[in-house]
Amino acid sequence: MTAALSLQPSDAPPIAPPRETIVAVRNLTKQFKHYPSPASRLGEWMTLGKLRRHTVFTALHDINFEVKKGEFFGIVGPNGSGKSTLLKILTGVLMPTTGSYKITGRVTSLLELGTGFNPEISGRENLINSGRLLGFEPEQTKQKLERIVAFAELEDSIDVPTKYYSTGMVVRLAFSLFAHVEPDVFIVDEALSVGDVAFSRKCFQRLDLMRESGCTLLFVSHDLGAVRKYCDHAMFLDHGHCAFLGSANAATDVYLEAMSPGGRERRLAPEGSKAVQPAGVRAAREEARRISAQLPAELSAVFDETTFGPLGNVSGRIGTGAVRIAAVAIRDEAGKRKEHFGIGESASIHLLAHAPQSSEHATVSVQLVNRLGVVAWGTNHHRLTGKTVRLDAGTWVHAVFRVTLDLGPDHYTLDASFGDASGEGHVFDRITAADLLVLEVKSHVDFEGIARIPAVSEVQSHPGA
Amino acid sequence: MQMVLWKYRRFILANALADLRHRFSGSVAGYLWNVFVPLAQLTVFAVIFSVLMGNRMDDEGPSGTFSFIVYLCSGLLAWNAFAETLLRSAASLVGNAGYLKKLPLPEQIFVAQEATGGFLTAAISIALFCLFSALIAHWGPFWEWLQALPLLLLFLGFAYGLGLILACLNVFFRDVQPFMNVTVLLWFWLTPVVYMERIFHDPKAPHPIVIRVFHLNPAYHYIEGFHQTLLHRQWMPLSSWATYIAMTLGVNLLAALVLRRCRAEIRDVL
Repeated sequence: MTAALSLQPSDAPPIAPPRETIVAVRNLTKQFKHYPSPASRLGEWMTLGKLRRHTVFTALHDINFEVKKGEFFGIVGPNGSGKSTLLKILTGVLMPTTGSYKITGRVTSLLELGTGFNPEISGRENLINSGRLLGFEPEQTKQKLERIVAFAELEDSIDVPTKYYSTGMVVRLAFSLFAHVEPDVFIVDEALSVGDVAFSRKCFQRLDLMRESGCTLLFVSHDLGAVRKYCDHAMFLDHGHCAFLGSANAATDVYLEAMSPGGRERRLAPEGSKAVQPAGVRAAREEARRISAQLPAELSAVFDETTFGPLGNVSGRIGTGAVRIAAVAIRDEAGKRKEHFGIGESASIHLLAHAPQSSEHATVSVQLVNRLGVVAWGTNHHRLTGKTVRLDAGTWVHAVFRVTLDLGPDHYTLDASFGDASGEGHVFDRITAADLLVLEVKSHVDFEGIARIPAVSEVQSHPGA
Repeated sequence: MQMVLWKYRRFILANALADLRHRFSGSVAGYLWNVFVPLAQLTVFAVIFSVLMGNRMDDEGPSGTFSFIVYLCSGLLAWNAFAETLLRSAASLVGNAGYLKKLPLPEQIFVAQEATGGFLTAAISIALFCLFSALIAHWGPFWEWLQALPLLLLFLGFAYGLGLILACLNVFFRDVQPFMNVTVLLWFWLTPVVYMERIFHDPKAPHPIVIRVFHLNPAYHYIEGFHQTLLHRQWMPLSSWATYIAMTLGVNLLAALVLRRCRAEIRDVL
């Protein structure tokens, strides 16, 4: 995989310097003491803790993650999983019981949305007050006031006491203020769903702008679509445990799978649940060597040792383990190894998997995801052929998808999975291999967008009557 | 701890002012209630003690009918600010839970905001009283009166420290608020504000225990300071200042310890 990364397309900037870590959370645990009554707390205090009356509730267990500058990091999970507690700790409202976190730069949080607002005074005065709370002199806020008000579209009601505002108006004003104070880290907790569709879109556009200027975002949402679309990485919190940490796509998949009926019992996904670790890469390399040594001859022609490489970097691996994907290879028409393709060229996607258990109705699926997280194309064997595959325990499976790359120029990530097609829908193994495929503009391009739909055009001019 | 207050000084001041302005918002008289309420209280005490009970301060200070009113005001205005700061402080963390649960603001600033509000009202009412004393009671103005300002600062600094301790405890035990309502009333009558200390100095019926209790009461010392500067126009000795500073610093040190001990849990409980 390292080889592929160093081969940047010619028009891309030279290899970017490693981005600095802005948020680092280490072994963070948060416990709450629950007392049955205030009297029992008094009893414990009076005896200097000898009479222990409280029970400990652990809201967060040993959380670890890092977010780099400019990255959007999502946190998903069911209600009560500890998402808000985590954000409150990162904002500095709550204190961790053990462990630590470090945030470089100024943090503002949409948790605070409108809470700093005094209902009796006007929107304008509230902006200045809240600005003061965020550490700005009134003059600094006043300079930005026009832009903040214009963004919130509240020009007509800015001098009215905020108690006459609707919920949506308060949210708009608050978001607008927080978005214009240019924080280094911006924490958004579910709040954006309050505004109407148009404003919500505007918020996300603003977030994109902030990302470009290097702002880091921590985003908690039940809107998995938004997490997929805007976040680079995400964490799935379940009962205060980090159940998954990896790409946003994979994290939301794991979350959905876990929340599906019986999903938790199937105990998916413990593997790869920590982000890329050097130790994991090393182990994967060793495994690759071991597997390629025991491969049948006809398969080792396609899958050399380098094709096992990417799987060491796989972040979001989930599945029951009935089938294990061992290698991914992309070949050109001549069967040669290639990462950079021209638009419209043919490629074949080879998957190698091993089946420790047998399965009756297996299928294989692949999808190409662009850098914005949009699935550009995807299909599976069952859909294409109407057939499923029977896999016997202990066999190797080789799947090939031959495709014409009629796609827009971009870097694509390959998601590949083996699963059950009989209706149960179990996932046997699902991997995401980043930057495996680079499509670049080789010569003339006759389209824009992400899909090159076959098209003809006719233009005629007609003289006026 | 003081650094935090300095950092948020603008916020504290703005909030204290806004609070004075908005405390009676929705009423017709508005912020005038800030003046009416203490004026009414003063009138009641003055009528009862001066007119009905005929209290006079014959031997010291201004003479005549106003003498008792001057005595009363010199202590009562400061006491009112003290008591109000204490009661409002005790409720301040619970009352501002909305902020504390969502903003990474230090706890102290909400207590400091109440103390600042108390200081401002007391400073203004004492200034008005000085005006009254000089123009109507023909007592003053004196340079010694200027001592009242640093004294008020120390007194409310003491209230701030004590208020912070009470505010922290009130988060865990909401009993503190009703308990303080009773305590402050009792404390008021244990401090010579309305009555005069000399009624216990009667040589025929001495009350040594009462005098000792007075001296254990920190508020007594501060209030005596106000009597000395405003009424007796004395320059206070350095030893008195040292006592005030020691009491204010001491209670603030204790408050800092209490806050450090409770801090992590306060937000968990709110």
